[in-house]
Amino acid sequence: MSTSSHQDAPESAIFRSWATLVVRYRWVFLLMTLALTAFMAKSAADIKVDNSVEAFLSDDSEASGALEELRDLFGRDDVFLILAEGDVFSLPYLTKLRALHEEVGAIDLEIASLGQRRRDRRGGASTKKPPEPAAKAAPTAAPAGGDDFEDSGDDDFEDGGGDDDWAGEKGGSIVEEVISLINVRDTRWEGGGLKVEGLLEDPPTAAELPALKARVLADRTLVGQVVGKAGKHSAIVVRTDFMSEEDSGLVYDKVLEITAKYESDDFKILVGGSPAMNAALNRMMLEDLGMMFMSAILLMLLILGFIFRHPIGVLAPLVVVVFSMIYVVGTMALLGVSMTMMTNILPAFLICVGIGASVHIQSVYRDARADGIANEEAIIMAVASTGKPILYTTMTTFVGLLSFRFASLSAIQDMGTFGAIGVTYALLHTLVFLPVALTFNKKSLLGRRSGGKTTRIDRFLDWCNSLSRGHDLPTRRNRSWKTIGAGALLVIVAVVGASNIGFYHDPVSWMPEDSKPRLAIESLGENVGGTSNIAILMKANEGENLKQKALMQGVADLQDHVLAYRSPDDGSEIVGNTTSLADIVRESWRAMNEDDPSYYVVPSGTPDNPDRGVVDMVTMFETSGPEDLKRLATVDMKQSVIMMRVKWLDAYAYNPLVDHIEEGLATHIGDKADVKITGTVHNLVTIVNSLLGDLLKSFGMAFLVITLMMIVLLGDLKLGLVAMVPNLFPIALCAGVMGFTGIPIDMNNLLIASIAIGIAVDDTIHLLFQYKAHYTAYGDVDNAIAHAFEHSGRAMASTSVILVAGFLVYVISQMNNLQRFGLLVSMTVVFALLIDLIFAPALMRIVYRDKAPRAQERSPA
Amino acid sequence: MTSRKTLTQRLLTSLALIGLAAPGAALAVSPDETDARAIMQAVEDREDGDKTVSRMTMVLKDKDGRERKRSVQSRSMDFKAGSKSILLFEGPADVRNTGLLSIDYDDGAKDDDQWLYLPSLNKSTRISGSDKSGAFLGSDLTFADMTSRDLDDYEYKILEQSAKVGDEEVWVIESRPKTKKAKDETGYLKSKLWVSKSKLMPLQIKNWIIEGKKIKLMKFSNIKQIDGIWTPHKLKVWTKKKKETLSTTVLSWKSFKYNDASVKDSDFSQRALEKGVR
Repeated sequence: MSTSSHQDAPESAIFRSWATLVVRYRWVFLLMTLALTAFMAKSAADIKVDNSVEAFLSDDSEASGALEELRDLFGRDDVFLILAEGDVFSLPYLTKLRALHEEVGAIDLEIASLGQRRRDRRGGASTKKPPEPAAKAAPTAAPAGGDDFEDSGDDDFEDGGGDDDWAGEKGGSIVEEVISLINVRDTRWEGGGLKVEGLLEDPPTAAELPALKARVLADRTLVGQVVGKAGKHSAIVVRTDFMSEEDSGLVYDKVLEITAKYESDDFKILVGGSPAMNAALNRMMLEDLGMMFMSAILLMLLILGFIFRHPIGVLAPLVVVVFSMIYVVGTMALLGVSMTMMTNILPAFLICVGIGASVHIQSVYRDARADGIANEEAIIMAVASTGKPILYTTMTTFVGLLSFRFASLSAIQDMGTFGAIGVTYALLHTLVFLPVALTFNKKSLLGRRSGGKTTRIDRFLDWCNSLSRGHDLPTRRNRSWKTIGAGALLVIVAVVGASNIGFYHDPVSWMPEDSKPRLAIESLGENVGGTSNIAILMKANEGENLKQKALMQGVADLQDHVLAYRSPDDGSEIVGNTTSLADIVRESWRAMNEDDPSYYVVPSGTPDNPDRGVVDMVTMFETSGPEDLKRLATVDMKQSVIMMRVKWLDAYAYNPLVDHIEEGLATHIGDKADVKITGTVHNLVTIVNSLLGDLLKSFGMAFLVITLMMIVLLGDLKLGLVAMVPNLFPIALCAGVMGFTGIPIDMNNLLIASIAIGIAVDDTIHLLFQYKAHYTAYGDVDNAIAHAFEHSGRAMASTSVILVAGFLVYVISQMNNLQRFGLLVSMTVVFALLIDLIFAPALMRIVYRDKAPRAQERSPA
Repeated sequence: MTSRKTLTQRLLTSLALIGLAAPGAALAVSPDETDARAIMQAVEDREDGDKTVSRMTMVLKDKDGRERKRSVQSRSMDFKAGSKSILLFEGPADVRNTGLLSIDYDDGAKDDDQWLYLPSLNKSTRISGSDKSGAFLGSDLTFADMTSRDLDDYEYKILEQSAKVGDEEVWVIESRPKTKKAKDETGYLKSKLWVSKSKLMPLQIKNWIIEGKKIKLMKFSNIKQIDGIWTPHKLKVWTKKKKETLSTTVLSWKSFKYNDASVKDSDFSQRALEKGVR
């Protein structure tokens, strides 16, 4: 096979002019690039990380709206949970628990983002209300007589507006609330009267412990909330104010530091809850980002070193992708977009996707240099002949990534947007920095072997081509059909496998099995009710409030209905605990009736007012536990929440539970109130139920737009349509492998189809662009294919090796989802290359005819 | 001075104490006084009146303007071992006739007696237990805000010898709890008080709430002399965090009478409680 075909390659006048300009003013372009890179690097340093469940949902989605409403009304729903294992009802355990409770409750950290909601930080609709205007009215007489509740002014507070915050004052705690066995609300009948206080506000004596144990473990409001069923675990619930993910990580560190002091064999501690899990995931992500980035760079150094064997040939493509990565992270930071579990794949992704264009340019450049062409002209020629296919391949990858804008999940949308921006940056640097860098190469042929020497890659390419090449037309067509047939058979098998693919979303499963946050979440699920929550927001009908017997009874029945739910898989309990206004009403009524368990019911009231019992119990509670009440109902008693603590499961497994709750709502609440389901679990379910739709929408859109682009780019309807066939093969094969090996579709591998088509199509474009130019000129199918293999085959193989190696870097990630993603994309890239080199030529040989009988003899290969 | 008060004790005694009544004449300290402790002692030593009858409305608002309203009538009187108080809900209609009765003993070692009357039970129930959050009727006020404090548990310093609140000349005094007990009781890291030099009562107070790093502002206004005792008829309380108002409470006294001859011992019985609003 000849190794020089650059002279036959079609050139673009625009790219020739561009390359000439860049080469002529190389210092200007270089300095501009460096200056802009410095600015972007400075911005990139401020990038934020956000792995919360909400980060996956767009701010204007219904699910996000309901969650924000929950937080507006009742504060933060995601809490730190400290699980302590030991003999709970023993004095040493309770002494430690009390000390830990107090120390955690006194955490004092300087938290810059304290009080900030996620939506505020993202620059969306503010959740903050404007400060209450201070009335300037002069003092007036208090309203006299009647039920006049009007405020009569006098709102000025001297010095009130100046330093209402803590202004650096030390000593306050950023913790809003700590609940454990020590202070959990306990309403009971004692000493001939009602007693409302923290459960263990007065430390119990050893003699009191057995009775305490029996009473606590029989209380359904406590078991699953602060204590495990067996009395071997208890939990401290720590609720802080809203803050950024980074600051939440600082609180997590502080909690870990404090708990470490109390850890012992008879007091084993694990720290879980959503903020802990997010902090742990963020940390892993940052560690992974650094590690994967460095590994990808090292790998690229090795591969580029092997291919180009000269510092410029190795470093120039690397600088192109590193600059692109800096630009894209800098752009995200400038726009206030956080790095999420989706966008964190971008740096390593850009390194392997962005490097392909440089490899193509340098391959042509070194061929031209080997043919004795002067350095600057070789650069210009390489850019002029490769510019168009590079632009086209960038456009298809851009479209593949941008198709994620059609997804409903904001994390996927962001990945698409910034991925597309990233490949655009990579194109710009390839067309600016790379030519500038090559002007500094005076002598090297960048690893180009001496003319005519056949390499392993050449032999591999030749073998691929030979599978559908014949010595005469009938043989050629026969072989092509067989090749296509084999491919079709493979695809059929793959489709059968793909039909078994399931959907899955479980951020906890991303963490290594022995990681402490994962163990904590699992242990909390097994022993203390779980770490997830489902919230049901309830709003009284117009003109009514929630203090109605019928409604409270409905809520109580709904809670019983939910608590009775069992996993359809193994019959295990999923809902550990529920809390509502109905609990307060029932426990107060029971206590008012001397703790008689038969009074754990919604009271009936007076003969003339059936609601009076509920009203009285709520009134009694208003005077005793306003903080508890604030978490469950608004001050006007028109809105309320039912909180349910549930075990952490894969999001898909929550679907039957949500159906069960909806069934309960229809039966027990009906039209008595407006209800809305929200909370972490509900959002996870929303996410997982969006996956299939997002996959189909984004892939469908990518496929459609790329097909149209292929037709336009290749200027040929038939070739454009045929070109898309081999691009579906690798995706079908990947789906088949996933189906047969039981890998489900999750947030990350959802991206594979669109990314793969964006990447796979690059090879097809390079191949068919050259094929079409040669076939148009000479009309010979075999020779046109041979020319395309010669011009682009080695670069295609090289870029595929780079892509495979680059995506395999994800395997070293600590997170299982990224490992799977890396493996699957690598595999798809290999499929894409093989299919482009084996099936695409076979297709060409079937679809196209030689234009003239003697063409073969006339046309150069 | 301050005993460990239970929720209802504080609730009942507060209505008398919140008057922050002070004798209109014979100020115990001069306006030039520079000793913060002496000023606070003078504030503490005020006459708070006896046999009081009052009617009050309370409006609690959350940050979004949702409201809860209550109107209550109360009576209180001193007796040899302490004080008695009764509080009856007048409105809104759904809570009318809910009532609380408290016998508060000066002897901190002795448990106070409290009864709660809920119409649905049709009998009064004795209640006890310590106050978890310390909030008065679920408002922004804690009972600690309204009970007298043991001055020895705090250290005071004058921040400004002379300042103004409206037209009134005030001392600006900082108070910090010296003991853990005092800190736990109020939940405040420190307080800043604007004490009127002419009335010897705080006109406004700013408290730094330890839990959750919040700020609580209290402003007394519509101050009138009743039987020679300066009595504020309105108290507004803001709970704030980082300049955002989380909630407000406005207490307005429609009437306030000291030494009312109609207040008698039999007003403070379970029977009177069960009889409801008169």
